Amino acid sequence: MATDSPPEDEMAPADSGKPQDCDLPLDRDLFLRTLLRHLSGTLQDVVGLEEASGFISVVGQEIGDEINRGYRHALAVDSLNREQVSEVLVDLKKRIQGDFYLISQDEEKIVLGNRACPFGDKVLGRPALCMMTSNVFGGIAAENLGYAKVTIEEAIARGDQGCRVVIYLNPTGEAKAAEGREYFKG
Amino acid sequence: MTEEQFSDFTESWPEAYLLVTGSGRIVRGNPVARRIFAETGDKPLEGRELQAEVLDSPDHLEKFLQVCRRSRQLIPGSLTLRTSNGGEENNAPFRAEGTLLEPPSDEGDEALLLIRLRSKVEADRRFQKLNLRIADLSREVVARREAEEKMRRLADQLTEADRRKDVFLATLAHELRNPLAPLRTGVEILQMKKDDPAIIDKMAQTMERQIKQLTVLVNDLLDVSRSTQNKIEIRPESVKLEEILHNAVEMCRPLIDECGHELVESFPPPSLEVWADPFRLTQVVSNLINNAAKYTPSGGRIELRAEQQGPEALIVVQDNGSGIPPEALENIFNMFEQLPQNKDRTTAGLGVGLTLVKALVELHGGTVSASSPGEDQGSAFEVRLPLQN
Repeated sequence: MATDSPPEDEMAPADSGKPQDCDLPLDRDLFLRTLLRHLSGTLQDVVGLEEASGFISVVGQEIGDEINRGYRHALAVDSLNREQVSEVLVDLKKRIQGDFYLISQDEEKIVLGNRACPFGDKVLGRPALCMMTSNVFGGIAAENLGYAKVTIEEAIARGDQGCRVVIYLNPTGEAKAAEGREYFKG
Repeated sequence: MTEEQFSDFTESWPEAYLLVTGSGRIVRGNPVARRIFAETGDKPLEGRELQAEVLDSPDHLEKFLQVCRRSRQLIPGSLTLRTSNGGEENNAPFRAEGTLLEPPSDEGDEALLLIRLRSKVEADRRFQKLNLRIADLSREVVARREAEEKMRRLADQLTEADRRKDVFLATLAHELRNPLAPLRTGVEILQMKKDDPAIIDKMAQTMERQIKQLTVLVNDLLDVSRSTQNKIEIRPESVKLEEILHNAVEMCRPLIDECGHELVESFPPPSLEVWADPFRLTQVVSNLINNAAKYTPSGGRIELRAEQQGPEALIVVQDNGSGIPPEALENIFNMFEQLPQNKDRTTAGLGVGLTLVKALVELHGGTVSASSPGEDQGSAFEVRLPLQN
């Protein structure tokens, strides 16, 4: 994965000596992603990943609700079906520079792969950010289909080449055995 | 979790626990919750709507309950409860944490939530107490470390003082023994050559020199001993500084000539007077000149000058000798502190001269300081004295 921030010694010094002429990797996108990285890092370190999951759920569900309402309104539907849920999950990530793709889907589960994380290299070592994805995916799926259990089998944040996310749509034996988080329609 | 299991688990827990339906109806509470919500026989806790028990807006409560309903995570939140304390109603902020115990059933039963409530005020108070205790402990640790560091420094100082004392005793023994040998030899020769006036005269002079040297050593020792016990007395009077300097030079002339040094004098006018004990001030200046002579290689240059500077008299003794290393400058006036002497030195010392100089100058209300550019670059000693009492 490309690194957003080149090493400091590779940044050319400004000839003019003025801040506005400095060649710095600083724009809104990079700033916000870096901010999230630090926030999630602090949450992980200070609160702990497990205890932080509640906080992340609150935020992730709110974001998921907004996205869900947005797509429902745009598609002019009251509820999304399974195919639409799959398409929405891929599309929303694409819009924020992720590269999710559909591996498979059936009545029991939706399986998604990912080649690029929207957070870029800021996600490395930050599984708290994957929890956000879990909450957004799980929330959208559960609100529209009644139930979801999200399992992140592979994650770029954990050093894997790509992500593999399984969204179980029913509390089957396979779903119960999988390690992940459950979401219910609220 | 059944209601009975809930009761079994939470009966003795110190926080308030509620079993609540997904829509916010209270199903059961543990004893702490029943107390907080002022349960009475007429008004049981079970069946109450949580919305009626909180001061938060319906949206706020619903948002919290909704997040709890949708996930099995422990969801953090906050609620402001109408509480009762001894019959008095209070509005108290609580930290709330909720989790989904049972999702809604296909038969239409509502979801079941477990909610824990902890008083923010109480938690803050405990947190503050903890912080204060941590601060106290930190201070104790810091104080202990500082005390240990102080003890270590004192131990180092004591070790160093002990070492200097040992060096001093060794030097003292050596310096005292030096004159004794020629004195003993002189006595033997006098006994053998009773009838030879020339030899008697020569021996008498030699013995007299050695006795003078011994006397100086012993007097220095006594003076230093008195100074450490604040027992030196001075008898100040108005004295001409020029006379003091002349007397000091006269005392040191034999050593200066012996070493082949050049002495450059720059004396103040005879009218310049200081308020000082003439004997002691002469001792100060002669000690400084002697030091300069001892620590300058033969054929060196010593400068003695004095002048008035405002309300003070300044006396400077400067040499182009072996100098003082920077690390030694700080302790140069300490007892027993000695720098390595010149190889060609002819007169030894105990390392108490400068200590005595400092003690005597300070008794006169003055100051003495030493400076040196470094080893082999000479040194300068400055004495400042008030002009009048």
